[in-house]
Amino acid sequence: MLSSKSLKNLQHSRPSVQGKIVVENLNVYFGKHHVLKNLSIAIPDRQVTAIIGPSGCGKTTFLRSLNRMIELVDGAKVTGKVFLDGLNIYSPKVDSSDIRRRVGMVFQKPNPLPMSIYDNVAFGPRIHGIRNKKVLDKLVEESLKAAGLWDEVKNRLKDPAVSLSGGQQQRLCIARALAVNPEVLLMDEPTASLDPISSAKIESLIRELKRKYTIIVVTHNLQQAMRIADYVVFLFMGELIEHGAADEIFTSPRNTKTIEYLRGAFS
Amino acid sequence: MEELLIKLLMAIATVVVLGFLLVILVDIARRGVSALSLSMLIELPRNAGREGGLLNAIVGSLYISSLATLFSASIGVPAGLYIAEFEGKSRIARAASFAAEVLSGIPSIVFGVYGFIIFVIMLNMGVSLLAGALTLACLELPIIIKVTEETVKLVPSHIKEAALSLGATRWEVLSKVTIRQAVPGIATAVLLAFARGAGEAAPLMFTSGYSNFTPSSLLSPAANLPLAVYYLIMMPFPEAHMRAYAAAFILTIMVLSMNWCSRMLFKRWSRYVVK
Ligand SMILES: Nc1ncnc2c1ncn2[C@@H]1O[C@H](COP(=O)(O)OP(=O)(O)OP(=O)(O)O)[C@@H](O)[C@H]1O
Ligand SMILES: [Mg+2]
Repeated sequence: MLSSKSLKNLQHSRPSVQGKIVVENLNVYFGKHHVLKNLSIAIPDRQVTAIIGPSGCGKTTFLRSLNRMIELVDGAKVTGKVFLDGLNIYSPKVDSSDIRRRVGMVFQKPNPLPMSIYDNVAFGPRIHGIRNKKVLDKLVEESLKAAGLWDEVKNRLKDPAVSLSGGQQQRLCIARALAVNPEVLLMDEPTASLDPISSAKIESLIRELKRKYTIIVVTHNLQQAMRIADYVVFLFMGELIEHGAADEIFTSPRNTKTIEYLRGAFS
Repeated sequence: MEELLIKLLMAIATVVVLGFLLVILVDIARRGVSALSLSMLIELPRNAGREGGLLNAIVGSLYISSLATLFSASIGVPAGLYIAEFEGKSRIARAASFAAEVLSGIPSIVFGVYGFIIFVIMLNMGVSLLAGALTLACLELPIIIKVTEETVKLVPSHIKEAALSLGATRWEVLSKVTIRQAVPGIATAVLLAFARGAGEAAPLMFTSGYSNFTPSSLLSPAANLPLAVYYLIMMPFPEAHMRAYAAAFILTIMVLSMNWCSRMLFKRWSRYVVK
């Protein structure tokens, strides 16, 4: 087995631009349905990138192609390259489980595992080989603290994860993702199923976490995008229409589709 | 009008089912309890079953059903898991699923006959505890496979995605996550199979036979409660009939307590399950 470092040196094709994640000519097909059309973009390191666009434009598909979760869909086909720190994650020698450890994911609906709060957070570290109880304890505590959940659960770590509220479950899922020490965090409408107070907590958490992690958030909520995003990507019917610094996109969008979308022309 | 008719039919069905259950339970209890004494539970039969106890049948039933459930669960649970995970991709999985489906429709006396031919005669086990347990295992197998398969198929995909997104392999997802979610259902499958097996007489008649003693080895014949009921009720003595009801009573209590245990276990183990 090659380590990712030696693999990186073997890699001849290099991304031509800088970024934590660099996407080059990415196409995704579901059967005959061409869902993502030749996307090329660089995602800045340790910033919050918001993916916006109308329903069905391919935001979830794009996000899932960044950690190879897209491969789990029957009939999905991916062409093009996605570089993570210069390593093409679709190159044949790369192990998808290695990529998913480095690129964590938080889903639209909180999806705790059928086990205790503690075991949920410890799940990732355990499958990646950490057995030592002390090390696990420390990891679980740190991750829960980073997700702003520690104080609420520190006395009930053995309770089932499903006994938490929806907002707490979502922060547990964030803690679980952080516990494997990822570099990138993908979040697909992480507040869509939550109440305003829980949403606000997650938003401030995202602003906090960007100091250590590169974060990519799909959101339908433009206000939310304005509050949290440094960088904005606008997709429309599978095409990348416009991307740039958040204040630029929100104050002076160039493309007419972006302008219409920001005005609320599409739902 | 139609609604009224349906409601009426439903009410009749409920009354019939509950009434039947109640009559059986009360009658068995009434007749069985009078013949029931401690010696029934701890003594072997004497004087052709007219005196002594039912220890041979109680022990025999426990041995046969437990062994049969052990055999069928150790094949059926992995098979059910495999079918649920690979039905779409594997021909063997689809064939196994179909076989289980067909097997579950076969009358239990047929299991008895083929158990006799295969285990007793061909494999040379003789009429024995082992042959009976294996025959019963064949009868229980489709139950365990089917219920396990259904439970595992019901495990929501978002749970598996959660594990995969953390870098888990397919195997880790199955062995560490899917199973956890399915454990209450699988346990129910196993207990259900046990209860079903414990009540069967036909598959055992020619395979484990009957004996007035507790089995001394896997290859000696063994009695069981359903057959004890059958043989005792066929005897022309009133005291034997009373003992038949006692045997039926013990069997009913055994199966009912198994049922109750499975409910309790299900509740306990469901604590962590994601709805
Ligand atoms: N598993 C699938 N099989 C076939 N087509 C799919 C599948 N998943 C998504 N699609 C199609 O791909 C396109 C993009 O879907 P995607 O889920 O990426 O959109 P989205 O931008 O996330 O939408 P939303 O905002 O509603 O979540 C849609 O046309 C959708 O119908
Ligand atoms: Mg989506």
